[in-house]
Amino acid sequence: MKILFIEFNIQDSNFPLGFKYIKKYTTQFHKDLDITIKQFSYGKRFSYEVNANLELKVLAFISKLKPDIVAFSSYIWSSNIIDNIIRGIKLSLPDISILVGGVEINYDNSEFAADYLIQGEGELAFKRFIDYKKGNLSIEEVPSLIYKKNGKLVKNKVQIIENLDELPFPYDGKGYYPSIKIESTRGCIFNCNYCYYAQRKVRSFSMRYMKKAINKLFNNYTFDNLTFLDANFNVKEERMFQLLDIVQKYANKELKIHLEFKPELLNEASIKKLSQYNFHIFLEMGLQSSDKEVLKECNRPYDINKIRNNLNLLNISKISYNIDLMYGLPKDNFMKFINSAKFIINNATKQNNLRAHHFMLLNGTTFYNNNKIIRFDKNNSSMVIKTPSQDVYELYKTKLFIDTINKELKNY
Amino acid sequence: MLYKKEVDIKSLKNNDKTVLAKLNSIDEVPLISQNKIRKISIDLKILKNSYEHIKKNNIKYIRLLINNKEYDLELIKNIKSKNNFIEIILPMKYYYESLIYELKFVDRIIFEIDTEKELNLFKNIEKDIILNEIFPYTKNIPMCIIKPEQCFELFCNNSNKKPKSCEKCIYYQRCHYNKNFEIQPIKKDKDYERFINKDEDIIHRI
Repeated sequence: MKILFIEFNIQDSNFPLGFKYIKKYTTQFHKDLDITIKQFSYGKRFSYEVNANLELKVLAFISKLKPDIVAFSSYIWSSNIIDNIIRGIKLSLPDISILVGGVEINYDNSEFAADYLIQGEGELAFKRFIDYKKGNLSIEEVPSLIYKKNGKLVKNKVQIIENLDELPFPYDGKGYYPSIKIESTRGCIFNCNYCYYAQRKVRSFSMRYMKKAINKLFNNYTFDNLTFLDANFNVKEERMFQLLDIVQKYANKELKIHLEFKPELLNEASIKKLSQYNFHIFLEMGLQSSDKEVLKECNRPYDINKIRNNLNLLNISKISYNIDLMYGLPKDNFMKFINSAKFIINNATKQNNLRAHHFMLLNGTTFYNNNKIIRFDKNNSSMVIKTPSQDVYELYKTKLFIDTINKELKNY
Repeated sequence: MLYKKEVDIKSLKNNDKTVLAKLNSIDEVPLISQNKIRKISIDLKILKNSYEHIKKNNIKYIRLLINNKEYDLELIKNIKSKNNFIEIILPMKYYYESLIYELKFVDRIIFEIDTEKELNLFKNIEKDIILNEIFPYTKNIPMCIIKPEQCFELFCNNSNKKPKSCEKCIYYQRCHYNKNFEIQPIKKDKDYERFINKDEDIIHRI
């Protein structure tokens, strides 16, 4: 059986981590599968030059490879592209089965064009989907699968791999990547209403697995940046330091380690310890807002004084960081956003710009069920254009405010 | 808008990041290089007569005050570079229809508004300003008339003398009173209160 996995990124030179997990896991049980993973860059998708038209390029690739199944990984930046390509496959290559997974699929959209959707993590679901395609399972037995039966949407029960150590480590080759991404934990203990990870069960790879994985990574690959994709790497401090101690054994001082942190969980001792590693640590932190009402609405409470103290400590440490805001959240308004910006600009002095993202309403989040939040595209994850407290004009004004502040900070 | 303190260049003592050195005459221009000044507030007329000097001093932030209907847009265009921030204070009375498009290259425009008529004109063109990717600020309008976050005075403590009726208004501390507008003192605005509250022991950049 010939299978093609397709994903879209800004560059087409990333390591396809998600699909590699699925491929490695599935081929343990189905050794006869011929799986190709193909990445496309969407950087030039709006070009009118025929050969640079992304949809055409992808369709041409599919028609040449002639797979039995095409599976797409859908993200906020690629869902519209995938919709276009699926339309093209249905018209020109109707024998191919089409499956879409990824964090941005809409579980409630009965108008989806693909034959199947996979809800949530794909490893177990895809392996069983192949069992079904080979005639060894009924469609009802494929976990997390969404499909249509007699015109009605059927959602099979979601099932994921409980013990992450069952997943083979996906980095099985050799080579150089500017940036390598790995996971040590899936899911998040917090329940922020705008976040997709909030609903997922938290599971971690064992320390024994991670030790072997990191060893394999450093022995076979060269890279400048290593990112741990864990939603909040500093939730379990002891585990965090165990992992960083393993990395320390292999890392040189030029290596940059990128970690996602909850700023309120830092403390003086942990900042001191993090500063002692020989590699460079870069923290990504999300503040989103400094307004109590907005934070309550988002279910993202924190102690602002604790964050202020931690930023002051980080400002005098050797650790680099980014701390981000989100604008357009429910209960937010322009003046409240300026207050949040003021907090960041005054306290995050090591960061010489104001990082603020437009609120994207993602499928599968708590806010997705709030029908008063209006987004650009009803079915796909997309930017919010109206909330009960802000209209699109105010959101656009906020964006201009941020852009101007950043130009000003550059010359401050 | 980041916090800046306008100080006459002659009486400048501390040249920290928040200081905006104000030039009042052409004779003061040499003080820019003497004091290694990087942020200035200058009248367009003075700029015209000191253009070469200012250009070679690599000023990072220029606040330009337009004070004449016959202003020279080319001069402003020439002083703009990717390494500086140009902010202009433009009296609404000098505005003409195509100006918004001609001024697309500046980083910020603050519209000085003194009458209801000018305010109405501003409200009419506000959407065009935004389409030109410029965040519109106003100057000289009381905060009870227009949203405080759009007022220049919110970010620079530039308040003036006010009548007794303003005393109980929440905006009293930062608002610019203007007798040409019918004021309506505001008693509660908790987001504004949060903004003017200062946190102790930190560097204030906004």
